Amino acid sequence: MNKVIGMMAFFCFFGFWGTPALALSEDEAAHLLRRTQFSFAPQEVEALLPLTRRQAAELLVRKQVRAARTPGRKWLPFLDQLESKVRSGGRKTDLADIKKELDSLAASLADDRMNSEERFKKSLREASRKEAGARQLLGRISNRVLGADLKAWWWEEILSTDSQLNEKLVLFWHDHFPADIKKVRDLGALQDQNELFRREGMGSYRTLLHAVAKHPAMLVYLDGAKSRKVHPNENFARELMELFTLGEGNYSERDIREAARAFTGWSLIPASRQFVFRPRWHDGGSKTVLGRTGNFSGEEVVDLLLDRPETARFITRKLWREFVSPDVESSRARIEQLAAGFRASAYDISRLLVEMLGSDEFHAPENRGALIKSPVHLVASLVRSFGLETARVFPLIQASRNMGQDLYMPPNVKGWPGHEQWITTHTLSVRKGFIDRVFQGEDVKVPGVQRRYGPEAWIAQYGPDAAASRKRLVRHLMAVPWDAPAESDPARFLERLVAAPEYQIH
Amino acid sequence: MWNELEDRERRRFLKFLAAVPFAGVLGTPSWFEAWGGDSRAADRLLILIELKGGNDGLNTLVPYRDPLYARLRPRLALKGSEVLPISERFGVHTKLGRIKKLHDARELAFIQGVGYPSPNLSHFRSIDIWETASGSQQFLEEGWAVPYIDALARPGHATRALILGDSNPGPIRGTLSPHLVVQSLERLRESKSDSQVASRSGGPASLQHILRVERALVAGLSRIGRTRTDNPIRKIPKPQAVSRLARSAHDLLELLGDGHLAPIMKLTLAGFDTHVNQLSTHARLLEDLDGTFALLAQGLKALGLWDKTLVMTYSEFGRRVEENRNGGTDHGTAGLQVVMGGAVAGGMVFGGAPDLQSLDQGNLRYTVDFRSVYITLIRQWWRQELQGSLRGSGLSGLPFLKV
Repeated sequence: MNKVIGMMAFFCFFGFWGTPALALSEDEAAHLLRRTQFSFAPQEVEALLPLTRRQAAELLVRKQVRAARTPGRKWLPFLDQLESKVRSGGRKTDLADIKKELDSLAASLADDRMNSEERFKKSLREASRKEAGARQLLGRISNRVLGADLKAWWWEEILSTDSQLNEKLVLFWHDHFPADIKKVRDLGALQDQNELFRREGMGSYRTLLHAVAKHPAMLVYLDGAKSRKVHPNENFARELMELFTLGEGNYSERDIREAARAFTGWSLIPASRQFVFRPRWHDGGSKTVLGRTGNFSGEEVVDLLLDRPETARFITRKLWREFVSPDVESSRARIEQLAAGFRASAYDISRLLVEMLGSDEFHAPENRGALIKSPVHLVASLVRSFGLETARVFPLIQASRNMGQDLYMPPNVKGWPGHEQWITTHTLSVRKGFIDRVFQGEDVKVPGVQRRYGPEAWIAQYGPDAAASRKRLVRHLMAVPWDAPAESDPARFLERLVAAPEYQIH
Repeated sequence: MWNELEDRERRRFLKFLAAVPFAGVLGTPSWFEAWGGDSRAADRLLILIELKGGNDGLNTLVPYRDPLYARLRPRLALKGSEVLPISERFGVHTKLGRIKKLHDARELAFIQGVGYPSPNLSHFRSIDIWETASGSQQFLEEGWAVPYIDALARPGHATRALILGDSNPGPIRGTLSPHLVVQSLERLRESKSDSQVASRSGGPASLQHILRVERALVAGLSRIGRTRTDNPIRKIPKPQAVSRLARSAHDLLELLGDGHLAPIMKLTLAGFDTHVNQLSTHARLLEDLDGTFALLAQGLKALGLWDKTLVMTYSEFGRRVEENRNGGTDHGTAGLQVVMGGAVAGGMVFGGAPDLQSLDQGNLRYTVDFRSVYITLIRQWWRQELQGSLRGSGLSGLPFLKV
């Protein structure tokens, strides 16, 4: 009943777009959910059916909660304190004291799903045997145990969140603004950046870019924190133009050198690892960037880049490839139109997504199944869709890594190449192997993963009639027609479904 | 490019050529043939090594006597005591002892100053240019080796190309021909293929790609599952985990030793983007590279493939001549290539020495167009006609091959 009232309120609020407004077909609703969520129940498809394409996209975008539901790791603030203690104490830090503190941290870890107290203490013993300094000890513990646990936290969120579209954007922005845990090391900064993506990833790209540019994770990852007036480091300025705003070919080498000067002085406070502007490191002189001259600050250069239509086009194309199709040439005109609207709306990401996901191109038959599922999407879909229970996420992290996507370990500053490059002879056999281990036979052979209910009960949620329910679930889960095998055993039927190459695309 | 060789080296090379009996480098009976492996099926093989991130050529083959080099790199310049001299002007990084030995034995050569006009300093755009052999303003989809890959196939080959250590297919990107990406040999041998799936066709491009990869798996696995107990490579210890490149080289040699050849093979070593604290990182990477060259030389000789195989490095660019404030170097232009094999005119440095006096916005001016290296490979090594953009390039080859 509540649902009906909600729906009526929704129509009153948004009204009908265009006359006569056509309601979504079941296939279209499923297509929208396959692209924006890791998993969805048949009821979620039904809920979209009275809506138009645009309304369905709007509803989906509006219902996202921009915060994690998984409670943050308890050790994280504690680690921050320990790190600043070690940093300010320098060589004089009392090692025994740090060991004692870490020991007590182990107890807080035991609550977590992945790391046992025992494992942590073992690492601590090993690390303290080898290292003399408190700093190295902390570094080792961070690298070996806590970094993996941070990743596990993110995976737990991916596997449980109801705001799946928002989470897909967190993944998208991590791919767009990568950070490598081996280089950044500061786990607090990585977690903070992750939360920034979750909070602002569907907000304004202007706000997001400014926040990311000054974020400790970025200042370390692209060496900005060390850049000074004399011989500035160009790393950040270059990737800012090439990968975060204009795209290759829309700036000159001179623009990069000049912009790099504007970012000098953006640095970090050693003890707290927080952003600080150091006027003495900053080059306050006149710079010429993209034909404009002034004593630009870093912020002003970011604004200058955001003023350019190339930036809106670049980000719109990238989102198009993520959600609609890897082919951006066939829809050039539509993308141009979306990009112009994106720029005019002060870079409102949600608005852009509504227009993209509600567009005729999104629903065009040639774009069905045009995308290859990323490893994270595939693993999360399998676990979430088929009612698998995960006591441990580590084996899933490992599976995704073997398929070529290890979060916080992007191949380079451009992120994962994606699309057809997800599938090589190596990764395809890893994908198939993982699916076999989950679905072949009665027991799941991935450690820590169990089935919550049998295949028959699972299929029944698509309807009472055995044949019709199978047909319906195929329509929901497969992006392209799939010749369902004549298979009486429901477990075998599901096994064939997920093992089909059609399941790899969406 | 001939006239760009240093005079002394040119004389040495001419003398050397006179001493080599024509075509004497091919056709020696080998272990490979002895166990029934048809090494004629090998024809000529190419092993490429991608140095990802932009290798600093100036600190690999070092102009250590150039006062400008020392002046522009107060922290990074390697002094005379930190290089292994190979000529009056150049020395190699101290971590390249085994590469120097191969050079001294005339089994390895360097090509310096390799670049292209209007260089692009983006990692991604520049590697696109290198791997598609495009001009700076030209956008090509297909890898430079794609037009030749089918002509290089022999009945005894396992697949068209073997890509190890990284999934970037490099010069064969965009190919529709079957190739194998090998992350770990054990895993590949364990993997399953589905010939029923492989026989299907149609559907969207994404699905067609998956089916194509499945076909490559079916074809490749039917061979690669077969191993030989007398494979001599198994007697060579597998390098330590830190030597990632050498480990994938060992995997590759093991495949070759089992008789699984492919005309094009590629290894990758990442981490050359040394904006910060370059000295230690670069030394570690070069050490791995050094060990890899030694291992490949040893392995290829043991297999009787030495004269039939060419090993060559490439990187998206060299680095800025002047160091930055963080003990590192920013993106630069012309770089260095290392070539090795029984057919290489070894003990030489090809290409003009980079002129540190005449820089272009702080970057080296190239002396060798990278496409002339490919032209040499295509014409002289593969005996193929140039295709596509290379055909009309007007560039000619370099004399780094003796065949």
